[in-house]
Amino acid sequence: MNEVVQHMNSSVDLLSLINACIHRSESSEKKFYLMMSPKVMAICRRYSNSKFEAEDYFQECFILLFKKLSSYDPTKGEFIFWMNKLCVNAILQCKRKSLKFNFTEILDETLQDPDAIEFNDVEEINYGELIEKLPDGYRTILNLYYFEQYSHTEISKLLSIAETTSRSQLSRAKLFLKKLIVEKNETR
Amino acid sequence: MKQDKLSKILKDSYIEEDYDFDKEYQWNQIQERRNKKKRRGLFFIVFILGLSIIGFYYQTFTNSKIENLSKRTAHSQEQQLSENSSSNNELCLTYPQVQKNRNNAVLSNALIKEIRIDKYDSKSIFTKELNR
Repeated sequence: MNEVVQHMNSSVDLLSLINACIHRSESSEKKFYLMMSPKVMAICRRYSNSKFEAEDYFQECFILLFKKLSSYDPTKGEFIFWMNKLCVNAILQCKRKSLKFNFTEILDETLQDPDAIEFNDVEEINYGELIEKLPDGYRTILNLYYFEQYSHTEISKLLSIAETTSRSQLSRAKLFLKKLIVEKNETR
Repeated sequence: MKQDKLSKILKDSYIEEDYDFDKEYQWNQIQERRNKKKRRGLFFIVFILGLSIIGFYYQTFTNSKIENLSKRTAHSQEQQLSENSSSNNELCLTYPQVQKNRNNAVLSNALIKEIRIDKYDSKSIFTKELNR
């Protein structure tokens, strides 16, 4: 009961903070920025291969967030999910602008089913670091599929690619990741 | 479906607090970029407004110019017409003069005839003298 009340209070606080940001109060904007920056940075790091690239996406995400804050409707869902979607869209737009996507249409029958590739939970491995090493297309689809929980149909629509390309890219991403893990284990 | 091992591993691997970055610097950068965008937006609005004002004045100026021109041509045409009519009137007025000329021509013809008669007469005189 206490947790529910606390959650409600925090959501009311967040809503009042958002309202203040909409009315262009700079102190509220900064407060909002400090509150949300770790979450936004985590999203940006997932989609980038370097800290600098992540910082570029981070700035772009916040510019878009401040611009679109007024369009947030609390009755339609939680702010965090809305913000997550907005940030992902901003990042994808940046990638599209810089022509970072390089999806090759491969209809390879020998490709493994993505769900059939198994991963062992090795605690010492920093997966975030390994994902940074993935090619941009692989990383994007891996993120959209596992973090944003998009289906292949949704990914294909979002990135304007064929559904088969999305599947093959995910399969290749997982194989690539597995290869990286094996290499990492061998170097130890 | 997506809740397999990899999904869990990946989610565990991204911890928000892990990312260390200069928040103040990033905030300043964001503010600077937002201000730049605002300035660009303002400049764009001013530019469009300026263009529309110039366009409006240019249109009214050309319209007035065309109006003036048409007025002027209409006036000059009117003037020309009146001039033409006046010259016609003048022609009408000189009719007695033409009559005079015609009279002169008639007179000159009569004179020529007279001369001829004189010639004939002189010839006749000459033949008369020869006969004599």
